[in-house]
Amino acid sequence: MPGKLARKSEFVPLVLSLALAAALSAASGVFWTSANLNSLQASIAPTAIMAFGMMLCLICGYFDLSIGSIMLLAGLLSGKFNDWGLSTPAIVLFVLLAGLAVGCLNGFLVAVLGINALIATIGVQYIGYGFAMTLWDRNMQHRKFPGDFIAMGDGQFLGMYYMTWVMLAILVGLGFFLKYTLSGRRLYYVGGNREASRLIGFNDRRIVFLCYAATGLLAALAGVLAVARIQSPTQYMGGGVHMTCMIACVIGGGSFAGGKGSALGAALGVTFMSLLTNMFNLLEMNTQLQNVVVGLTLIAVIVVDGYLNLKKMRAMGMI
Amino acid sequence: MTANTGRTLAVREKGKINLGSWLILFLTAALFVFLALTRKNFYTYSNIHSILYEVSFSFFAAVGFTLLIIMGELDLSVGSLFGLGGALMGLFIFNHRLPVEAAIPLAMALAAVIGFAAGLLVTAFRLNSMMVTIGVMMAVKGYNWIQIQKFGGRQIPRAQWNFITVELFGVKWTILAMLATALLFEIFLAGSRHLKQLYYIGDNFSTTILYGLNANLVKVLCFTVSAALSAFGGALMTCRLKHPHVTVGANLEIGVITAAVIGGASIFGGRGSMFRTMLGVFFVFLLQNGMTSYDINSYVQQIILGSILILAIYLDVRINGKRT
Repeated sequence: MPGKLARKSEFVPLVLSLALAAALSAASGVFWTSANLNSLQASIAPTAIMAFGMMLCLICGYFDLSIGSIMLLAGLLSGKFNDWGLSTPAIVLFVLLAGLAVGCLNGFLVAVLGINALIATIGVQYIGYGFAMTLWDRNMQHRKFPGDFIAMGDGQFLGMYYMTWVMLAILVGLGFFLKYTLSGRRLYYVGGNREASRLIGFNDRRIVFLCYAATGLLAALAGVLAVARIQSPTQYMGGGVHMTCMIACVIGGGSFAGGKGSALGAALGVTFMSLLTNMFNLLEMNTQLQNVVVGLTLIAVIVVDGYLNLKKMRAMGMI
Repeated sequence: MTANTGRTLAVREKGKINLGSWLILFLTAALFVFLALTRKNFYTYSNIHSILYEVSFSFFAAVGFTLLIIMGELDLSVGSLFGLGGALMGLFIFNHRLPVEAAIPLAMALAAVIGFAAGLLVTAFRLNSMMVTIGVMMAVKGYNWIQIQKFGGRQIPRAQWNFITVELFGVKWTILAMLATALLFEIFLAGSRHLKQLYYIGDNFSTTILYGLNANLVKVLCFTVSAALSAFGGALMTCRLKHPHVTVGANLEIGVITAAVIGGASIFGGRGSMFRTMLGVFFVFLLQNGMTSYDINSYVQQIILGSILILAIYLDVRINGKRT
C-alpha cells in the first residue's frame, strides 16, 4: 500500500509541500500566525484556479502563457467597470466573459489556425498586457470597489476565504470531471496520442479549443478574486504567474509531452510554489532573486520532464 | 540554381519567381514611403541615421537567433542576454575597474557560457528550445535587475563610452558593423559548407545525422554565438545610453522573432536569411518610430506589434507548415 501511494504522481508535490511547511515552521516563528496563513491562502487560491486551466492545456499537450495577462486584464477591467458604476454581479459577469473571449482567441489561434502554442500565447500575453495597460490610469488604485465586491475577496467562511472554497469546489469538480467522465478522459487520449485519438473519431481541435476557453475563464475568475482581495486594481497583477503555474503543474504530475496530470496535482504543485514564495518573503529575499530561482526551477523541471519522456520513448522503442 | 538549393528548396526547384521571401523588402519600402510622405521630419538624414543607429544594436541579438531559427530552434533568451551584456559590462567597469575593451569581451564570454549551457540542455535531452530559453530569460532578467539596481544610475565615464560615437564617412561605426556582419553571414550562409549545413539540419534533422553531420554540436555552437552576440549588442547599447539600464533588451525577443519571421525565416526550420532578418529588424524599428511620430501610446504599439507577430507566424504556418 505505501508503495502504491508513492507511485502516484501527486506524491512528489505533497512530500515537497509538507517538507517545506515543516522547515518553515521550524525556521520562522511567524509561519503559523493567522496573518501569514491568510496571505498564503490568498496566494494559493487564485494561482491554483489558474493552474487548473494550465493543467487542462498540459493534459492535451499544450500550454497557455497568456494567463498572466488575462489575470491583469480581469483586474483592470473590474476597476474600469466599477468606474462606470456597474453593480458587482455585472462586473463579475462581464469580466468572466472577457476572460472567456481571450481564452477563445487563444483556442482559435492554436486549435483552429494551428499556430505553435508557445508563440501564439506569448503573442497574446504581449497583446493582452498592452491592451490591459491602455485601461490603466494612475488614479485607478485610489478608487475603491463597492462593499459587496470586496466581501468576495475578504469574506471568510469557517476560517477560510471564499476564494479558497471556490478553489476547493473547482478542484473537486475538475477532479471528478477528469477522472470519471468520458469527456474528461478524452483530454488524456488527445494528449497521449493525438493521431490515434483522431483516428478513433475524437474532434481533437474542439477539445483543445474548449480547454483554452476554460483556461481563459478560470484566469479571469482568479483575477476577479485576487483584485477583490487586494481591494483595488494594480498594474503588477499576474506578472510571472504563468511560469509559476507551469512549474506547479509539472511538479504536480503534468508533462510537457501531454497525457498526464490531475487537478489535485496542480493544486499541490501550487501549494509548493506558494510556500516557496512565502519562504522568500519570510526570509526577506529580493523579489528579483525570486525570479532567478523560479527561472532556474523551470529549467530544472523541464530537464527532468524531458529526461523522463526520453527514457519512456526509448523504452517503447520510438527512438 | 544548384548553389542555392539548400536555401529555399521547395520553391526554387519549381522554377517560380519567389516574391514571398522578398515580402519584407516591399513591406519596408512601403512603410518607408508612407512615412516619408506623411510625416514632415521623417525623411531627413539625421532621423534615418538615428533609426539605423538603434537598429544596429538590436540587430546583434537577431544574428544568433536567425542562425538558430534556420535550424528550427527558437532562442527566447536573446532579450535578457542583451540586457545581461549591459549589466555585466557595468559590473566590470564599476566594481572591477576594468577598461571597456576588457569588460565587453568578458561580458560576452560569460553570456556565451550561459548560451552554451542552454544549448547543451536542449540537445542532450531533446528539449523544446523555447521552453528552456524562457527559463533562461526569466533567470537572467532577474539577475539583470538585481545587478543594475545596485549601480543606482551610475554613469559610465566618458573615456569608456567614447568609442561608440566614432563615425566613418559620416556614419556611426555600429551601423557599418551591422551591414558588414549581415553581408558576411549572408555570403557564408549561401556559399560556405559550414553554414549551409544549418539549412540541411533545419530541413531534415535525422537525415543530416545519417549523413554524418554532428548536428547537435552545430546547434550548441549556434546557441553560444547567439548569447555572445546578444551580450555584445547590449553592451554597445549600454555605452550609447552611458549607463546600464533595466529597459535594455526588455521585450526585445518579441521584436526579434517578428523580424526574423517577416524576414522569411520559418519556425519549422530550413529557411531564413541574415540580410532579410536585418531588414526585418529595420522594419520593426521603422514601425515603432512611425507609430511614435503619430503619437500612438506605447501600450497600443505593443498590441500592434504582437498582432503582427501572430499574423506573421500564421502566414508561416499556412505557407511552410506541414499539413495536418
